[in-house]
Amino acid sequence: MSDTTDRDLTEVDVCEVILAAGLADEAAVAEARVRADDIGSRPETLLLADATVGRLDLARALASAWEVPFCDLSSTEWDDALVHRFEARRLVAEGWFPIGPGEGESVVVATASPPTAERRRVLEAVLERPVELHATTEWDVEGAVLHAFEEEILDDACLGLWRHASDQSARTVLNSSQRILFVVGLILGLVAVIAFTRDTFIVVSSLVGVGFLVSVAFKFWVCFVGARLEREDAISAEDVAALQDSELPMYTVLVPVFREANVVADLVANLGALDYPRDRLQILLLLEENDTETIEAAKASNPPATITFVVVPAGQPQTKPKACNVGLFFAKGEFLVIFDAEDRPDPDQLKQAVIAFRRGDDSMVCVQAALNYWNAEENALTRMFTLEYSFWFDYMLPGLDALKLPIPLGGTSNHFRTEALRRLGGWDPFNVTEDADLGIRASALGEHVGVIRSTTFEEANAAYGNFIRQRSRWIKGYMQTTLVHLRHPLQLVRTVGLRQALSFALLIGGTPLAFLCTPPLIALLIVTLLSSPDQISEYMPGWVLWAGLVNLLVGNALMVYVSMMGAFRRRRYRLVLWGLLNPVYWLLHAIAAYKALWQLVFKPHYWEKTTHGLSTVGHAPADEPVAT
Amino acid sequence: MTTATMSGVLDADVTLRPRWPSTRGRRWLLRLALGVPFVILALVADARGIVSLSNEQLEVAGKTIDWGDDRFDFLGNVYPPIPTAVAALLPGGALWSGLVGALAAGVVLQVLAERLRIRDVAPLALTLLVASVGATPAFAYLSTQDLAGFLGMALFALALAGLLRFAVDGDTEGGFQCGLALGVAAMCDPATVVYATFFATAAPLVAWRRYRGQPGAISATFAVVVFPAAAAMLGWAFLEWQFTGEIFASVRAQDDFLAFPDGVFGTLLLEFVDVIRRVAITPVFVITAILIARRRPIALGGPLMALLSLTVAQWLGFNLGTGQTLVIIASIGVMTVPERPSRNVTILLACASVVQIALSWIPWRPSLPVTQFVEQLFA
Repeated sequence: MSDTTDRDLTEVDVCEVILAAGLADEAAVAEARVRADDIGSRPETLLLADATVGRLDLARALASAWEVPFCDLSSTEWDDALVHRFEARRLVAEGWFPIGPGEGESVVVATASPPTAERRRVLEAVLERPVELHATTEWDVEGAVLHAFEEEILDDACLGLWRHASDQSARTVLNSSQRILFVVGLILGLVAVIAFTRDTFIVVSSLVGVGFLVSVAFKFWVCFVGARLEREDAISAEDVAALQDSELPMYTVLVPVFREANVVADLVANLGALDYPRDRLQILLLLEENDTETIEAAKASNPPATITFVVVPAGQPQTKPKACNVGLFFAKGEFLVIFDAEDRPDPDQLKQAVIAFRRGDDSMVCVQAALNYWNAEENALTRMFTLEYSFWFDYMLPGLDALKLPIPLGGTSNHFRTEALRRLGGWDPFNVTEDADLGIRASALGEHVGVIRSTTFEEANAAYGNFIRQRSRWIKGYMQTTLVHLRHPLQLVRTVGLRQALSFALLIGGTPLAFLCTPPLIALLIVTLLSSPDQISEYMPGWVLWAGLVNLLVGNALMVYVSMMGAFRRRRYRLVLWGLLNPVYWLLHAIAAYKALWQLVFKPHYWEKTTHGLSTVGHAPADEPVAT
Repeated sequence: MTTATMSGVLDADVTLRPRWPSTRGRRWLLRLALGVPFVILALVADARGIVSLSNEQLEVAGKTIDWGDDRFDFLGNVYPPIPTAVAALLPGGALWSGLVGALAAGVVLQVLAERLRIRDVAPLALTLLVASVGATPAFAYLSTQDLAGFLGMALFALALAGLLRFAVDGDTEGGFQCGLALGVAAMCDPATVVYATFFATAAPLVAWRRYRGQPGAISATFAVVVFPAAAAMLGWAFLEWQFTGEIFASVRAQDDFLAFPDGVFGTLLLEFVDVIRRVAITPVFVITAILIARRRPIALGGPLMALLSLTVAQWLGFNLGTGQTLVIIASIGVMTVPERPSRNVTILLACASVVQIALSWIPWRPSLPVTQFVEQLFA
């Protein structure tokens, strides 16, 4: 091993090394130098990002230039006890990995940074022994850390939040006080039904009626506020164009994929369309260890160097949030976003998010982009789905943002400050709508979630069975989120305020309740229509009937109307009249809600997988949807 | 206009479009200020012993409402339900209905003033144009003596303002405003169904450029404008059918409804002439229509559709409030004033406003309740 102490290795010209090793031609290197000067990057980073130079080839060439051995960590055995003396996160952050004993008392250490004298001095201080430095790559260090610390990383991804704050985790469906309340409530309810059937029916009807009225009024009000912001272009195209590449920070993109071999190729193409300097993108493709088909498809797609595979070790619960937590462990970006495999984000979305974060204060931990569908007109279901999303993401979320109310995040295109996300504890792998939960948790901890107008286009569910599975998971997740955040209702009110707490209760708790109440209410309507007024008044005294009628006629009409307006705003004109079919669509939700309730009791953490890639239409329909 | 702060987090009063006055508080102050003269007028009329037949009828109908009753026997008597319910809830009978109408007058005049201000109309012309609607006996009578008629008219004006923003500017909040105003208006005035249909038909004409090459845009606009009014009417029809076995009994019971006293076509012609006669005494409307025809002839379809809707509403025998047609035509004239009018156009509009105010005070038909109201007031 050569002595590197008398040479300043930071002055080794990597471009010259590349040229000398014949890894790229002079023209490519010259161009990379110019671009690097322009954007404040390094030429070799650009060459790697463009896949002009291979990562391992460069590492070998640099090892030779630095006169140290190259270490291929993927085929090297290490001293596990030695490795475990250090924190996994530290090894990844500092880019080194201890391998084992070297000559004499020395320790062999693989380093991704130049093996300078300073590097040596620091590592010797850390290891308290002389070190022999070998060259490796950051990617290899990360891979080795994942292997060496598999159990710890997995354990942290699964149970980190629960250990840190068990009451914020859905691992336990009901905590002890909730269990007591539930049992007492059940007993009292049964007694009431048996002893005071009529009165109980009247009380429940009244509560449901008032609840629906308040919920509809709230949603309509929020939508109306959202509609007012229609032309408010908080981040203009000029703002985005004015951003210099040199000002942009490292951005981590997490893409969890599971049993999605059929969409991996599209995913690579979609991510390639992002308008963001490639050398500042860290794209982590989160693959499940037991999903060999997708892993093989990902390898076959020949992804660019900016995409890194992270194979998440198998283990329960096998959920998207667990994979995301593993990804979070390796995230190096100042900001981080999640995309689903089939997503088509607006190309400038990351830049919009950067601007939003920079304009916001530190309490803004997340911004949510709008979601919509590229296969809206595939069939009736995709049309209804698109109507719903247009209303939700274009009216509801901007309205909630403007009113400073808690925002339940959508499943994808959530952009985070990475450190803030770590502080929040990452995603709850036991919550099957970990995104919605995280948005509410952020609010509950006094942080702020905002929205940006950029849109990500997804594939709408076109199959009814698939829809019920997906929706039952979402509704179950809302139930879990409600139960988690209502464990300490007074504390919630104190932290976020009464208005925000009520908003949370209405939106997250009210939604599953409303769907659960739909079939009984329809049955009640049919009975009412078939009964005489005298028979009705027996069980539905005046004011209860009045509230029910207002709900039936005004409530339904208002919710149908906002969905029509949402489609109009998206300029999905041909979908507007489909809004009239919303009551039928809500029935599908009701079916999913009952399935969700059953699962909450018997399979609370089961992740109903939504199958993607079923759409039969192309990704660029003739009437391209409009991003607002 | 205040702009958005970071990431779309907005101050409570920030809106997407320019407003005038800029804050909510100031807008309400202006509305109150504009309503004060009508409040005084309502009080003076009451002190002079002027009896508002329309508001008294509302009061009588309101008394039949049995709040919280589960049999709903009264449903057949209370259409239009919103002004009837308001009258039933107000403690002071017809006078209070007049006061509510007076306050609503302030809202209508502020909406007109705001639209003119945003369209960069000079302050003096703005004042005169607003006065061409507000400083007329018909407006005063409607607001203080006919709550149902005035609410119908006020909601018509709000709907029209929303429609213009919706169809011309593509502002869906305007669509909300238009649709919801018509939805509420349907519960104030059965003629709303006619207005809504014509509004929806007019929208594509007003916005033909924006809709060109947009499949489904016309039917979508129609649905957005008509749905709330249709839902309201169908909902009410369901209630009446369910609890009384009849549908719109009170509307059908009106003598004029579908009566066609001069035959189907004869009545239509007479009503058309009646509407045209009112147009003749609203020069602001005539001038703005000419200006629209010169700039964009197809957009003239908007105001013409409104006239047609008024004609059809009268022809079908909907009981339009006294002076309602005239005030609606005057409001349309103000709403359609062109953006940033030239000096000459501004002068023309100002002069037309003065003429319109003068014409409105001429007692053309002594038998009309408006004329009698003015005579009693100044007696």
